[in-house]
Amino acid sequence: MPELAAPAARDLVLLPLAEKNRPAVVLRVLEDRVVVLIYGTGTLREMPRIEVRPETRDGKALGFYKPTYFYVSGVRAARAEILIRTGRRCPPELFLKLRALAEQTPGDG
Amino acid sequence: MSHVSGSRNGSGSSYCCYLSSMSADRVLHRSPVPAIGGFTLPPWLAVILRKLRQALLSDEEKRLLHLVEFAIATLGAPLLEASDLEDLERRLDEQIERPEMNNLLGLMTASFPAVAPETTPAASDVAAAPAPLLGEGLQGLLREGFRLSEAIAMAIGRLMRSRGPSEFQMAAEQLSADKPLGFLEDPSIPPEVAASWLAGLRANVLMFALVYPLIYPQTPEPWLLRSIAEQWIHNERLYMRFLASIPEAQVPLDIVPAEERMDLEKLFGQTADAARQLEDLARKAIDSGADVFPPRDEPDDA
Repeated sequence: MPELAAPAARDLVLLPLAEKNRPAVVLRVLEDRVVVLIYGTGTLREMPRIEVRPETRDGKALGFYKPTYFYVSGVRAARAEILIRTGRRCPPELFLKLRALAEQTPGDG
Repeated sequence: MSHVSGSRNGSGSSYCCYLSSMSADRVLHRSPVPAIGGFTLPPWLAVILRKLRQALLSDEEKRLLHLVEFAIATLGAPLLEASDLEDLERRLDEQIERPEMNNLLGLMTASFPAVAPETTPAASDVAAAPAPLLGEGLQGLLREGFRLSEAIAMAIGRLMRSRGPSEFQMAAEQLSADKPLGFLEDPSIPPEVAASWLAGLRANVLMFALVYPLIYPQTPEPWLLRSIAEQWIHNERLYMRFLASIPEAQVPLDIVPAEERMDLEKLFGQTADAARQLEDLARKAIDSGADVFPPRDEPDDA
């Protein structure tokens, strides 16, 4: 049974969304109960993105087994208790790239 | 997380909610030094090495040298065990996140007002001593690395004289108290600025590793020493971008060209706007009662 606990910034978590568990990097935690994160997808789209390939150091650190793409449209806010922790942390430089992407235009719906 | 919503409203009035040296208003308006003070060990080491050759160490410089030696053995040595470039980067990331890093940098920051350089050394003096000991093949790289270190030391010295030594004492205390790499996630710090600070930290550890063979009996493989030297210079340049963006630091244009400098006012303003928008997103999530907000995903996501 995966642990369900309050994550911290830079944690890699699984975000339950539309019947899938999406890999997501925690960007901020507010009041220990709401998490702002950016989730990754295997779908390549022609729009600004951060690509993480599994053979790279970032990909290995996050445990990815296929190319994963992060888009600004993947920014979400979620209740902390629904997130599934993985025990992995986002490397510092990749985290800053994801932050920069997310801060372009937050996905506010 | 300690920095909850409302702690960053851009006015500075709620600054006390979040005790961090990495604050926008400190960098821009009150005190840029705490944000940078701890990330400058390589230039200090350059100063110490220069003075070592002159046998002119003061008590404070001896204290700093002792700290530097400890940092070299504690934080630098693990890099010299790297098996390849990827392993080197992984080890580097591990070191900059160790609590000892902040503690050591805090202690070293406290020493800076007593050892800050006021004059630029002659070019021939820079790196003259360590280069032969690390191998003649590295001489050019080391000379460039120490040239940048000296430029950083001079810039920090100008900032200190402009803002006053008390800023460094405050920086020292806050560095020791800060969470390692806490600035990465600080929503008030622009990612571009945080990347520069990150490079400053990396430059420190790379320098510790580079100097280790000068002090302890170890001969690292040439490819490793070269990689460490190249990354040291690369990270020094990245860090220098931030320093050069503060007018009082008076960084010469031949060190950092005008087009590479950051518009800090603009960056911090944009980051403050983005932070508010992300906070609004979180508020909407709370108000909606949804587990995830917005609740949909992209229709064609794999």
